[in-house]
Amino acid sequence: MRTLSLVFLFVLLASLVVVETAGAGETIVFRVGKVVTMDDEDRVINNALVVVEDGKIAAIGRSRDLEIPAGARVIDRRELWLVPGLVECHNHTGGGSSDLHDYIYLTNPGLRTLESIVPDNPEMERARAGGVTTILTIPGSGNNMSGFGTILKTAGGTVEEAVLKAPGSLKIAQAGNPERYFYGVGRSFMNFNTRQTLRKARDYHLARTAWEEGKLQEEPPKDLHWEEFRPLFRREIVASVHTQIYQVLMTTVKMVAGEFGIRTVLDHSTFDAWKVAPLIKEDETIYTINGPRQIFYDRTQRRIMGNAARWWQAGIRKLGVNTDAPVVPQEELFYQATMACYYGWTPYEALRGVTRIPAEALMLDHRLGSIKVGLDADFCLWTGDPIDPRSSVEMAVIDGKITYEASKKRVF
Amino acid sequence: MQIRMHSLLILLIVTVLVTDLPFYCGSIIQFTSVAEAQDPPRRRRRGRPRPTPPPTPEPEKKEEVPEDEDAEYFAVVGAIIHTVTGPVVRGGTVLCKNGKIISIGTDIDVPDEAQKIDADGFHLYPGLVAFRSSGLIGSGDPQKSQDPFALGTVMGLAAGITSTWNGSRVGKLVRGGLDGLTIRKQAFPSITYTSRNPGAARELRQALEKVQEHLRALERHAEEKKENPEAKAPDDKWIRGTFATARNLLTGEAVALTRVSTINDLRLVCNLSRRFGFELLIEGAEEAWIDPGLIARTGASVILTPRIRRDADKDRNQKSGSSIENASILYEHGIPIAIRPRGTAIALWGLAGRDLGHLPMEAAFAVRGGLPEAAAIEAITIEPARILGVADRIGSIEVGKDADFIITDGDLLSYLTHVRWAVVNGKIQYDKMEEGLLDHIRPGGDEVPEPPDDHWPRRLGDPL
Repeated sequence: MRTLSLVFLFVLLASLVVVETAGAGETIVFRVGKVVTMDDEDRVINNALVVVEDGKIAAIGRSRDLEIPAGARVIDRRELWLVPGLVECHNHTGGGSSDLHDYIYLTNPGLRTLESIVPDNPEMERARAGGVTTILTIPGSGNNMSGFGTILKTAGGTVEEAVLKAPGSLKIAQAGNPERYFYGVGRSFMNFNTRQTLRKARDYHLARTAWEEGKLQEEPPKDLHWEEFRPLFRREIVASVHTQIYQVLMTTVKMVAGEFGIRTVLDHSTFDAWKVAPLIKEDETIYTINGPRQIFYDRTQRRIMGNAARWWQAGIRKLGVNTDAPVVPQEELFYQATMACYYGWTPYEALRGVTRIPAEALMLDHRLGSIKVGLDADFCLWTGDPIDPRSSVEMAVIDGKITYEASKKRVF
Repeated sequence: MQIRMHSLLILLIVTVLVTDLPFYCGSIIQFTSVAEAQDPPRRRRRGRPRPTPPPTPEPEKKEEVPEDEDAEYFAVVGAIIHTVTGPVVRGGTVLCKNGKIISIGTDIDVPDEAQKIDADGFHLYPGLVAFRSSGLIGSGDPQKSQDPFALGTVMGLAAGITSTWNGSRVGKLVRGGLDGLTIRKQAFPSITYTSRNPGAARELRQALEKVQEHLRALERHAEEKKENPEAKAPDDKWIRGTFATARNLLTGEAVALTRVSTINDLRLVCNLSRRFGFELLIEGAEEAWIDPGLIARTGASVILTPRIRRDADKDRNQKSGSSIENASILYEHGIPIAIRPRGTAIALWGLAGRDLGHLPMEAAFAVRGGLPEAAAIEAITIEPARILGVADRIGSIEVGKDADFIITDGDLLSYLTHVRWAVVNGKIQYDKMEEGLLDHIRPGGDEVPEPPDDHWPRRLGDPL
């Protein structure tokens, strides 16, 4: 009898463990009221099913067209919207709210935020509660080049589980903060310094490439200072450039994107930066990720400009928004889009600007940013339009795992 | 059979005990509940006089119109009128005379000489009331501090705010002059009663005790005087500073305003308020959701920021930190709440959405946490007006109240909604299309307007 009860207890415990660790290998079907896919056809599907298998999206369709796979766990939330997980291009809280960046030289090539990542920090829970599933956490803008950023998911876990791409981007601060470096520098020196560093890095990359291709007899010495730059010059990762005010933006476009041919993401791009739009339209690969300043008060015209709206009106289509968390809390990424819309942008484009556009900007649109078969199952269930502050995230799903449920504990 | 009766009796007793049914009910109970139903329980505050009822509406006298030649009429026709304290009137008219609302309804004759706004399809709300502000109406006395041409005033009106408290008076956002600015002078003695500052807490408590003793002595003196007219009144020359504040609180002449965050400090200050019986206004109250009953029992009003972030204290083995549900939990417990954003000025330097420029958005965050939309609108109109003691004049669309309202191009809590007109004292103070600050954004409601003709791209020689 005692053995029997022990066995029973064991089975009970085992079943509990199975429920807890389910995710990998399990099929989950989300039955929702609306799916905003953000795919190439911009489909919005009402009364839809999204089938998730092994952490990837396996099928999407109207509930009357799709059959629920046998043995699948069905999450029936027909009152909710399913929206791709929001992607943040400019975050500093991947390591909690401390450890912003190291202030050694004005350019610190080779430093990596990867070393300071804390995947389970409380900021990540709040990010999920705000619908943010992927962040690029980059060093601060206190010096011209503060190191390489890391792209990670907000689900927590170990660094290996969380990190999606490292290095994820090179952080360059063109102007607007590095002036505060301890001896005080102006734009002439800062641009000289940034250009000099990039040239050295490119020379290193070209020398190593030549040796790898057998064009050099002698192996150039390996230097960790410059090693991380190689994917940058191969255009496998991007440069996240802290840039604002039109003069500075012109320098960024000419130097980083033009002279060095680096794939460039214009972070912030605020104040009157939208005036440079005609210049940016020439390069298809430049992404403009605007914010967290969403307005610019133009004293000469006595007008309040919505920055995102002005970029859009000027014909910039690769347009998103960012929070610069913790400047604006990470969970308020959607609210940057809200403000952009209040000042003249359109809601659908703004939603694209926090999902698909940042995913493309980070060169991860083959995994994130939309609801397509084969992509990572990163999405959130919202009570309505995600841009509306009245709607909230009821459930956040990352890699097919439910990582936040408002019904258990509402965080935001 | 007997056993069955027995078990039935037990079942009955158990049911009565478990479901808390009354053992008897009488007509008296019935009457009280009816009387209470007249006045929703969340409006009742201990020791607070009822707000002055609005003046009785003037009966609609149609023949009065030609008599009153100097009268200035103003009418908004065709709007969806959100009265806040009453029903929503669709396609109605609000008629104002000399800066006061004189009638609201769907079948109203508008005098020919009236200035008319055709607001078909627009929404009309009472002007928003910002509980606390800086830079909108000057800092103190209007004659000395208010700039009638301040950009802050225009921006406040563009955000829908028509009245605010600047720390010393409740004033209106009026441009181009200094008339009709002040609704009333209002100061709340600020008290500090927290565990962080035990010295100040002791000083306040002792002052309250001493003044309470003094007030009792005064009562004894009044009794004594009936028998002995020569009786000497207790000395009150020492009542200055903190003691004067304490006397104002204890006699009910003033309401204490305190900025408290943690639940422990909330308990301290609420217990103080209940012990001495003074009225309390709590700003912040980030952790009030943990024990809303405490605030409700105290009868305090709360001014909160729904989106405020206060991290939980992981070292404490109890609930802590802010909650997005704070506003809705307090509302459900019948606590009067007013909403304020984190910043109390209007920020033009770029970080949009956390200042007074977006007061309705802050209210929308309360809706995110579960607050009903109607209550969220009350929390930025009639509730702050009540807290500031000016609900007899502003805060809702009612006959007899001041003609202060905003006409918006959509639902107030929607993020695409802009204020089209702001009206104060029956005069248009802000017109989006005339003002030029925001006129290029969705003019005429178009979602994708033509880009404005800015100087820069033309200079580049590259048309937009």
